[in-house]
Formats: sequence, C-alpha cells, structure tokens
Amino acid sequence: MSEMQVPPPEVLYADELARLATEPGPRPPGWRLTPSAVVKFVCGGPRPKFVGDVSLVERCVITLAGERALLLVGEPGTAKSMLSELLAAAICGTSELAVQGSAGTTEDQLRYGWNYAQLLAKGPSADALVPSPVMAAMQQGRVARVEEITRCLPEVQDALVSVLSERRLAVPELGDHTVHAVPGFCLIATANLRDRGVSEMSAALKRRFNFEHVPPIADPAAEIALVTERTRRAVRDAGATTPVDEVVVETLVTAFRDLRSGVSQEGWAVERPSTVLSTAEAVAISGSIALSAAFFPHAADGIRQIPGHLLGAVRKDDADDGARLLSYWDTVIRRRAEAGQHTWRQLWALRDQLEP
Amino acid sequence: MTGDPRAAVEALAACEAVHLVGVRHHSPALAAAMPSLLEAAAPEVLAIELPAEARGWLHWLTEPDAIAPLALAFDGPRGLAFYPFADFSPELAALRWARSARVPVACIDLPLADAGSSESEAREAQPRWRRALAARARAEEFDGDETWDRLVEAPAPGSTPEAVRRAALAHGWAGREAVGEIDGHTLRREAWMRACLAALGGRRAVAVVGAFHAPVLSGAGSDPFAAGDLRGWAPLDWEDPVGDDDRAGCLVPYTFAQLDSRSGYPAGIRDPEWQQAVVEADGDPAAIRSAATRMVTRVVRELRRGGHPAGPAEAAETVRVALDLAALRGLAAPSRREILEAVSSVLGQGALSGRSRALAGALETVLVGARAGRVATGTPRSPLRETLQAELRAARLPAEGRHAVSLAPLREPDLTKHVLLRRLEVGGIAYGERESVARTRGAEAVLERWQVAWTAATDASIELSAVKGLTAEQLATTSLLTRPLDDVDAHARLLADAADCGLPDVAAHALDAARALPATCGFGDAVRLGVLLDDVARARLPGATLLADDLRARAGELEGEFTSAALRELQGIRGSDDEADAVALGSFVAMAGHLELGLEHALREVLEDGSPLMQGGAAGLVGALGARVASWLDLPEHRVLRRRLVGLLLVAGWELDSSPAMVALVERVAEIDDEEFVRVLPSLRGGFEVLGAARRRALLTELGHRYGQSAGALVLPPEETLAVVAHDRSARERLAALGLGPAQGAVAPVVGTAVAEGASSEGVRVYPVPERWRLILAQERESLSPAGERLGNCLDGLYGRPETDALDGSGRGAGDGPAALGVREWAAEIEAVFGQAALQEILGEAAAAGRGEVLELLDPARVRPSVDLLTTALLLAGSLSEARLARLRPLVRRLVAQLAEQLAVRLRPALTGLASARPTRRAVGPLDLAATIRRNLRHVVLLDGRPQVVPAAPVFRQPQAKASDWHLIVVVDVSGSMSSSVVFSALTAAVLTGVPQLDVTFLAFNTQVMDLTGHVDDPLSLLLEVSIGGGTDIAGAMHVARSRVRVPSRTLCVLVSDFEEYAAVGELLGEVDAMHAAGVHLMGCAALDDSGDGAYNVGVAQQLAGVGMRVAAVTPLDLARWVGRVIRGEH
Repeated sequence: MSEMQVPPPEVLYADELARLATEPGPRPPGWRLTPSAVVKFVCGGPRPKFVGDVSLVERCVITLAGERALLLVGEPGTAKSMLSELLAAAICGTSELAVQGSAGTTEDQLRYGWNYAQLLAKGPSADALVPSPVMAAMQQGRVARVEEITRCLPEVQDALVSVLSERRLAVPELGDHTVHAVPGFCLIATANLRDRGVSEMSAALKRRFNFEHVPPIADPAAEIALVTERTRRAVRDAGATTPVDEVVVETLVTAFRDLRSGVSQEGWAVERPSTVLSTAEAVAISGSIALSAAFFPHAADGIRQIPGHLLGAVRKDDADDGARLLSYWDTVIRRRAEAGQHTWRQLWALRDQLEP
Repeated sequence: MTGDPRAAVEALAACEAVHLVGVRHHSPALAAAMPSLLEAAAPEVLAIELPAEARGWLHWLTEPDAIAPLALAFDGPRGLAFYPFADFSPELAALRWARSARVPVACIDLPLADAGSSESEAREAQPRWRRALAARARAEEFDGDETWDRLVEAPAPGSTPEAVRRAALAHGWAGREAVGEIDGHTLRREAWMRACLAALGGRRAVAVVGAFHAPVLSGAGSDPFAAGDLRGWAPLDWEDPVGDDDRAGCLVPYTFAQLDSRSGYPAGIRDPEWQQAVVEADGDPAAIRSAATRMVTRVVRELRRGGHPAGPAEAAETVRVALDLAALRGLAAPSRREILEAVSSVLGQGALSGRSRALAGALETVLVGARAGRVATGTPRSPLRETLQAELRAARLPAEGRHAVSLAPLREPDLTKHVLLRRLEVGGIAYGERESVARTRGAEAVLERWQVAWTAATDASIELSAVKGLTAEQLATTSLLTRPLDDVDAHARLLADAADCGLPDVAAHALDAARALPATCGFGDAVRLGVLLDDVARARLPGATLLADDLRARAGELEGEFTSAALRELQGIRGSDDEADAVALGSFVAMAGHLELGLEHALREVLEDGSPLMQGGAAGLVGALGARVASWLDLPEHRVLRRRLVGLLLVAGWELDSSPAMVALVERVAEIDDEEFVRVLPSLRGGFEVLGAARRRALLTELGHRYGQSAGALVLPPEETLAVVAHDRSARERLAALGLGPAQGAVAPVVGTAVAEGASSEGVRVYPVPERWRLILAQERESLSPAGERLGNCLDGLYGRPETDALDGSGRGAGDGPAALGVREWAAEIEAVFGQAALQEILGEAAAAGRGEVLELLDPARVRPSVDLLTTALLLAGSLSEARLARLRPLVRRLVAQLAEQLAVRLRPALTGLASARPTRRAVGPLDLAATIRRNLRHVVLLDGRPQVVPAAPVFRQPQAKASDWHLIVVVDVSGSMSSSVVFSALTAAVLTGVPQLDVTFLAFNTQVMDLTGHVDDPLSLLLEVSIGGGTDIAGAMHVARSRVRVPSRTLCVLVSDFEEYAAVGELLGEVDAMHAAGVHLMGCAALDDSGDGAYNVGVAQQLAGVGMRVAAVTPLDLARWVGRVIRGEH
C-alpha cells in the first residue's frame, strides 16, 4: 500500500478488523462483524480510537443493525466524523462511501448524476449513469456516510427521504429502472450544532433518523491523555524527536475545558466565549506548540506560547471574546497564580500578550 | 473481609446465623423475588430494618384494603424519618408475606427516639470497589442508584430469586468496602440490629435489611448494647390485638408523583410507574418487554398530543432499539435505562430543541404515573396539630386567640419566633400573617409586625399538611422542596424563603437549582438574584444566620455567576429606556467590582452605543469621563440630554463628592453663557426631576457650599441681599474702571428691575450660577429674579409646580402665575422665552407627561413628523374622548402618512425584483440547457448511427414575478416599553402590504392576542386600535401565529418583542420549534426602530436562536431586506 497522509480506519486497523471478523455469532445481513465486535472495535483495541461513552456507541450500533439511519449531532470537534468512519469501517469494511455536505451540494451527489459526454454520445443507458456514494452503498449493501448534512440545502437533504423510507432510487430517465438497496445498506450522517443546526431539517427527514448527541469528552484525564497522544503523533510524523511537554498539554487542556464549560475546575464561574473550543482544536494548538518547540530553540518554553494561541482560538466571530479571555485571565488564572501554582503564575505574568 | 469479593459474597449469602436479604428501599427486582426467597428460607421470624416505632403500624400498613403507595413518617431527634412504601418496596412485600404466612416480625432498626451517639469508624477506603461498580454499570462514580439499577435490577428478569439476592448482597458489600469513614450513627444502628438479631436467640430468622448493612450483620461485633438495653424489638405476633398505646408518627396516603425522586419528597425512586410495571411482571422477561412496548406507545401518544409528529413507526423503532440494546448488553428484558436511551435516540431528534422538552414532559407523564394510595379504614390520624401547638408554646407564641406580635428578628429570642412563623407560613399553615415589610438593600430588617391567630383555617390547613411532615421545620422543608420552579421569580422566592426559614437542605437545593439560571435570565433578574444571594451570604435575612458558613459561602460563589450573567446581559439592556434597568445597572456594578476588566469593557460599549439613559448610567460608572459628560450639554438633542442626565443621576447618585461626572457637569453649567443655558435648561430641569424634591434641596445646599457660601446662604434675607448686591456693584464698577471684566461666577445684579440692565450690559450674566441651579432644581423659587421666574413658570407648566409647603409664606406668595396660564398662553410664553426651536420639544414633552391638550395646538401642516411625536400622540389617543380625538386625528393622519411615505421610499428598493427563475416550457426567457437534456432523455433517436437527444420540449427560465404568494405574519408585542417598535411595526407592515406578492397578517399581543389584519393597509386606524401596555405572553401569541400558517414553507413570521417572556420559556421554545420544523421562516426583532438597538433578554434570544429563530434588534430596512432575501430564495 502506498504512503497516505491520513490512512482510513479500514487500512489503519486492518489487522484488528480481520481478527474481530473471525468472532463467532449472528450478524445482521451484510455485516462483517457481530454488533458486539463493532462496539469492541470502536471503543477498545490496542490503540484507543473513540474516547467516550460506550453506551452511545452501543446505541449507534443497534440503530444501524436495524437498518435505520443514524444522525450524529454535536459541537464541532467532538469526533463525530471519526466515529462514523470507525462504524462504517467495522460494519462494511469501507469508510469511503462518503458525501461531504455543503451549501453547494446538489441532489446529484446524493442520488445520481450523468456522464453527459457518454449520454450525448450513446444515449441514456445504465453506463452513462454516475452513481453517488449513496447509490453505490445501496447497490453494494454498505454504509454510506453524509458529512455535515445540515449544511446542504433542505431541498437537497430531502432527496434522502425516499432512499431512507422506500430503500430504492428510481431513475425515470431510463424508463422503469430502479436501484434497490441490498440488505446491509444503511446511512450515517453527521451534523454540527453550531452551524445551521438540525432545526433546519425537514420533519419528514428527521423522522427517519435516530439521533445521537456526541458530547465533548467528559473526563479531564482522558482528554489530556488523548491530546498528549495526538501531539506525540504529530511531532513524530513531522520527524522531530523532542519529547512532548506534558505540563503544557495539561495547562492548555485545562484552560480549554474551563472556557468550554463556563466553570473552572475549582467551580469558579468563567465567562464563556462564543467560539467552540473543541478537543480537535486543542490537539491542533498543542501540536503547533510542540512543533515550534521542536524546530525553534527560542520557542522551547511552550507555556509562553499558550496565551497567543488561545487568543487565536477564541477570537473568531465575536470581538468580545477577546475581553472574555482576558477576564478568564483576571479571575481564574490570577486566583490560581495567587495560590502559588508555578505554571499559572507564569501564565499570569504573560497577561500583557492578551491586551488589545 | 477485603479479600476476594467472590468468597466474601459467598460467605454472606451462605450465612447460617441469619439468612440475609440485602435490599434497596425501592427495588422491583427484590420485591418480586421476595415471596419466593422467604418461602424458600421458611423463617420462624422476619427481622426487618424498621425502627421500633414502626411496630404499631405494621398492621395498618399490610391491611388488605390499604392501597400502596403509603408513607410512614416519624419525628425523631434527627428530624423527619420518612418511609414511603410502594408495591415495589421489598420491605412491604416481605411484611405482606409475613402477614399471610403468620410469621412474627421484629423491627430491628435503632429506635428513632434514641439520641445516643457513637464514635465514627475510620477505615481504609477501597475506592477500587466503587470504581469497579461504576465501570461495570457504566455509571458515574458515587451514583449508587444507577449502579444498583444496572447491576441488580436490570439483570433480574429471567434470573432466579437467589441470583437476585446475591447480586444485591454483592452490591452492598462492594459499596461498603469503598466507603472510608462510616459515621457513628450508622454504626450504632448496625450494632443495635446485631443485638436484636442475637436476642432472637436460636429462632430461624430472615433479615431484610439495607444491602449496605448486610455485610456486618452476619457475625458478632464488640457491641455496646446488652440484651437489657433493647426496647421495642420483640417480634410482633400478627394474632396480637392492635394496641392504641402511645403510637408515635403517622401513616399517610402517598402518590406516585410524590414518590418520584425528582418531586423533592424524600426517599423516592425515579419513574415509579415503570417500577410498578416491573414488579407486576413478577420477573417474567416477556411481561416486561410487553410493558416496555406499552409505555413507549403511550409516550408516543403523549408526544403527538403535544403537537409533535410521532407515529406507530417511531414507536415500533423505539421498542426495537430498546430490545436490541438489552440483547446487546446481555439482558433478558430492557430496563429503564434502555428504554430512556431508545426514546431519546429515536424520538428526541437532537438534544436541544423544543421537541426534547416535550419529550421529557411526555416521559414524565407516562413513567411517573398518577397512582395514589389509600390507607385502610380506621387508620389513626396524624399528631401534627399537637406538635405544632407545642412548638408555638416553646417559642412563647399564642396558640389561641388573635394577637399582634412585634419582633426584632435579628436577635434572640425573636429570631426563633420569626423563623417559626416563617416556617409555618411557608409550610402552608394558616396562622401568622406578616404586615408590610420595608427592607432596602444593605439595610437590615430591624422590626416587623405579625398578626397571629389560631382559627378553624389553621386546623384545616394542618389536616392537609399531614403528608409533609410532623414538625414546622419538616413542613417548611417539604413544602419548599416540592415547590415547582418554573420561572426566575419562583427561584428567587424559594431561595429567600429557604434562607429566611433557616433550612440548610432547602437552601442547598435552591442554590443547586439556581445554578442553571445564569444561562437564561435577563439582566434585571440576574441582578436581583445576585443581590438576594448577597443578602443570604451576609446573613441580612434573619433566618440566614442559622445557615452554616459553608452554605453562605456557596451563596457568595453563586452570586459571582449571576454577576457574570448580568455582564453578558448588559448588551441586552444597552438600548433600554427603562429607568428600572438603569437602577439595576447601578446595583450590578456595585456587586461586580471584582470583574473590573470585563465590566469596564462592557460599560464602555454601553457608553458608545447605548440608549441615552443607559449612556448616562454608564458614564456615571466609568471613571474619568468628566469631560464627556460636560460635553453633553453642548449637543443639540434635548431629549437625549435629559435621558442621559436621568441615567447619570439614577446610577451614580447626585452627591458631588462621590461622582466625578457630576462635578464636571456642575462646572460646565457654570461656564456656559446665558443663551446656551436657556437652551439646555428644559432638559436639565427634566433630568433632575428624577431626584425627589428633598434631594434636590439637599443638592442645592451642597452647591451652596461649593460656591463659597454657607448652607442655606443661597437664600439671603432681602436686606443682606441688597447689601451684597450694592457691594458687588461697586466692586464691579471699580473693576470696570480699571479695565478689568467681571470675574466668572460673580453674583450678578438680580434685584428688582436690574434684569434689563443686567441683560443689556455686556458680559454680565442674567442667570448667575446659583440662579441657574435654582432653576435647574426648581427650588427656592422665591429667590429667583423676574427673568428667572418667567423661565421657571414656563417649565412648571411642563413639570408641575414643585410641592410647596402651604405654611411657608414664600410658597403661598408664588401661587399666582403659572397654574393659571392657559395652554395657548403657555405656548406663547415658551416661544417667547425659549424660542421656536424648543417649543415642539417642550410641548411634546408635556404631551407625553399627560397634557393632551397641547397636541391640539400643534399645526399638522407645520409640524416635523417624528416617530416620537407620533408615539406621544398615540399614547394619548386611548385616553381622549372621541370629540377631542377628532381634533387630534388630522395631526396623526398626517404624521402617519408622512412617516409611511418616508419609510416606503427607503424600503422599496429592498423589495424590488422579488422574483427568481423557475423552469417553464413556455418560451419566455433563456434556455435551461441541463434541464432541457434531462427532460428530453426519453426522446432519443438514432441519427447518422449515433443516438441523439432531440429537444422536443425545451425548458426555459421564467422570471418568477408575482407568481408566488407569500404570507407574512407580523406578531407585535404591545406590552409597555415597546411603543416605538409598535409604531414602526405598523408602518412597516403597511408598506409591506403594498408589495403584491405579500399577504400580511398583523397580530398584536400583550397577555391577549388581537388580530388587526383588517386594519393593516391603514396604519392610522391600526395604530389607533392598539393600546399599549400589559404583560407579555409570547408563547400564546406564537400559538395563534402558528394557527394562521397556511403553507409553512411560504410563510414568514416576524416577532417583535423584548423577549421578556412572562410564562415558562419552554412553551415558547416549543412553539417556535414547531413552526420552524414546519418550515416557516422566522425572524425575531428585539426592537424595530430606526436606531436598531433595543432592550431584550439575551438569554431567551439565544435559546430561540437555538431552535431556529434569528433574533436581533433591526431597523425596518433590515427587516425589509430580510423579507426580500427570503422571498428571492437567497437566504
């Protein structure tokens, strides 16, 4: 297999999937693994994949086992897409039948398109038909994924209604041609609560989904471990050898969690910025701090970089968010610094970096 | 026993000395298994974990005609002991079995009367067991209920009774191992239980006890109790007659609603109806599965009844998910958790919408249930009455007759009385009534008066309260804990009552409940709760002194959160013109001192783009703004200056030494020249009106100090004044002779006829500084110069005569002129004194102040149309007789016509070209190539050996003009403070009616909803129909709006409101969500006026945004643009 920047899970975890596929037990039609093996794959294994509630994954698996469509909703950066990839890879062996939703997504991308050159040359025929990933999944009995479904226009989303209820797609241009879904076909969609939100979806479509809300990681230790692990991977992939400064990661994740939840670890009130502070963003920031520490000797002290990065992460939509970060500094960080914690004292000393 | 858990549990289960059944107080699994377990063990005596006091009640509890749920309540030295029993209580199941099998029952728990104490035992905690429980149950650590549900209840269906017993014992064992210190009371109870079991001698006993206690009951311990100490333990023989001797406590009927642990009543369980279904299934998985199907179906029906789409298909899917989840988790039947997970996954549709609230309501209705218990006939009644009388006697309060009681509640012994009276009041006992309480922030209540009387109403209320407890404290606690908390007021009342009754449990509960509030409450509420919390934290409420320090500290912490919330809400009141908001701003800043940075930022924002009132307030709070405040005097808009002043005075106070802004203002007033002064005088006087007469007098005195005269010296006796003036004059003449001008602020010649002279002589002021302040503050008018008096009289016409003391000769003397002025004369006078420019201002002001007759003076042809003036005119319209209205009508008509025309000119461009292309087969526009190919794929022929698409039916793009029919619903809040928005809404609606594609419905609401659609094309009659005022019921209005929707996807709904919802917010969210789900395009206007800033509740607005309604303060132009965008399909 050639080098890939981001290998899909079915490649990355091929061995584990092969081993789990040998587990005995009844499988829903078209499934490679038993439902409990899917749960085991997503939540367990030698390398942790999805850090979160096992019950949530169980519900997802049960939903899909009933051939019902699954909609994962949550704040940005809560590993919804990763969860859907893992589920697809475990159930049908591929996570690549995916449509990325956007305002420009058309019905063709959810149903089928035409190869116009062939159409004009040879007339309408099944050959000229360009199946969408959804149609391909129907024909092969696999899992189709629609990312960010709520970014599509509602009319476009509604193209899925007939697919999900009647499990077939008619192609009237070819006469009586109809594509029927093979057993095993199901659909996982993800949606972001911050964008247009699920309230834009039509009631008809909503009725056809089971909704699962993917929350941010609840356990601080698990989040710190996850960010540390990903940072390490980023540093290694970049070819650097320096170790990851765990104090920096811990401090950063703590600040992220405080600002995300509106309550500090100690239970003090924090003014919450309007920006979403996801784990994914913490990974990105932690990675760039670690990399600059690795490549630029003058940036070796990662703590000094935190304020600037935090400001960049927080101040996106609302100009007031900068002031909110500053007030986080003036309340929580100052109190921690006064309590004599070294790292926080250092951060408090860096307050001037945030001054507008 | 910390070794191998398997062996330890095995040893417990096999215990020879006594057969142990570890239970949880409510457990359908064990209740179902209990008869078989007891049957198998065949005990000679049943030992049960109930106190000795319960012995006399066992008969009544197990009577065949008694229907569970019932509750046993006792009063002990440790407060209310409460034992609710339902069919799924293992204890009740065991007692019923014992009665039917005639097996004697021993109540082996420590008697509640026992006041002794034992040392607590420190042990090494083994948290790994707790973690193990949590991990196996996938629950939070410390959530014992959930781990029990997962590890004992869920696997029970299909298991043997013995397996259930072992699971329960194992849970109890692990739970006990995980605990570090066990408190003395628990140890004492366990010692007592051991002693009782030992006293049963060699009889074969089954002990039904809490699973937590089971591990220590099997062996002997070093027990403090000898057999002789034991009281009341002797087994009850069912054949014994039911004695009436000194029975303590009471047995009361109970309901499932009270039994649900979320109701606030003690010792409950979640979702009793479901537990009942499980116990009725008697351990049969198939029966539980069908119960699950039944419950889910009922939830779906409830949901549908609430107006949310859900049908049998969803019900079937929900049941499937629940059953499959159970199967995946290795359970024979779904448990409560599987059902809840399935319901929220299939029916919830995302966590945040109004639908999930409706779902929660449906779940509550179905799973909590409405079953009510009934006691057997002949059951003795509650002793509450005697207890309360004893409490009153102990506090030295009269238990009969009517009395008035004065208390100084902050100190003993009156504190005890106050707290008792408050507890009775809160507990719903009709006894004492407090007379009006005057308390201000920071000032402590020193004295209060109560009317107390023991009447028939008291006795009746006691009967009704029996279920709530046995003492005043318990009554109050239960009443408060079960109070519904549906709005901010309820939270505030709960907190105040809990603190003032000195009830720590309730106070803690109130604090917990209030934690969620900062997310949604508006500015005023946040400040109010913050102040209340501060009062609790500093024990300014009398009862709060009884609360523990840490609880008060928690109140202090929570105050901080409300402060942050208020800071967030500040942007919502930026545009407010409500004086209450300005006052709240002042108290807020006082309590938010520690947030200096964010606060400063927020205040500066208010200062930049707030309403004049709020700007004034902010200026008083931000330091170093003297120059800016002073510069306000130079700006042309009078109304703005007046409102700014009001804000400044309300927020910063008027004392010169505490308000730098005031100092700057005073200095500026001294600097400006006479003409300028006359120009700003009406505004200044209007601004300072907000201070009462007494304060204005005090301010004048203080100004007197400032200008170098002793207090009161601004009023000099005539002879002294003459002397001073003569002196000044000669001094000025000397200065003039020396070629020097008069010094600033010199006292000008203001005596008698000197006015003309003073006005004419250059550089000399007609209105010197003290006179200026007399005019501004409307005080000491007897000392005014004639010119000043003329000004003052004009303004009195506007602001009314300052109240003069009739005994004061000077006051009487001044009683002639102004009040006698007719309107016309007055207007002429104003024009003469202040000039034409100020005339409208002052007349408008007067009209707003209720002097309707002045409007008739305004010449429709000459008047400059402004929304303010129109608002004023409309405010009057309601109060005028038809005859006078007729005179007003031309003015209003003209105003409306002109304003509507102005608005239409601006709005039309935003609405033009409301058309988009739609495909058509008529050749009217450009060819749509892709659509043409698609449409003609059926017409393929072979031409020259190649298949060709023949465009038999070409498709074109047709501009969509007038083809559509959109429906615009304008829903306008006409509750107070929304007046200018109402005017703009009406005008905008009228303009939009003129757009051919739009069909406009106009709904106005306060607590009622009026459909004014018939008037919408004539804004004048529409506006005359609306009367502004009243409360706000947005949800009701939206409900009506929803009923008017015809084609949801072609409907726009515009809600104009300040979003201060009077009723519960949930309902509003539900309505909006339902409309949104149907596809209606929604827009919320926090205010609709030309400036585009409004005052609104940011928290509610954000929640509405979450369910699909965009909320912002917008201008009519913005609104028109939005309408245009939606119709053009560009949004």
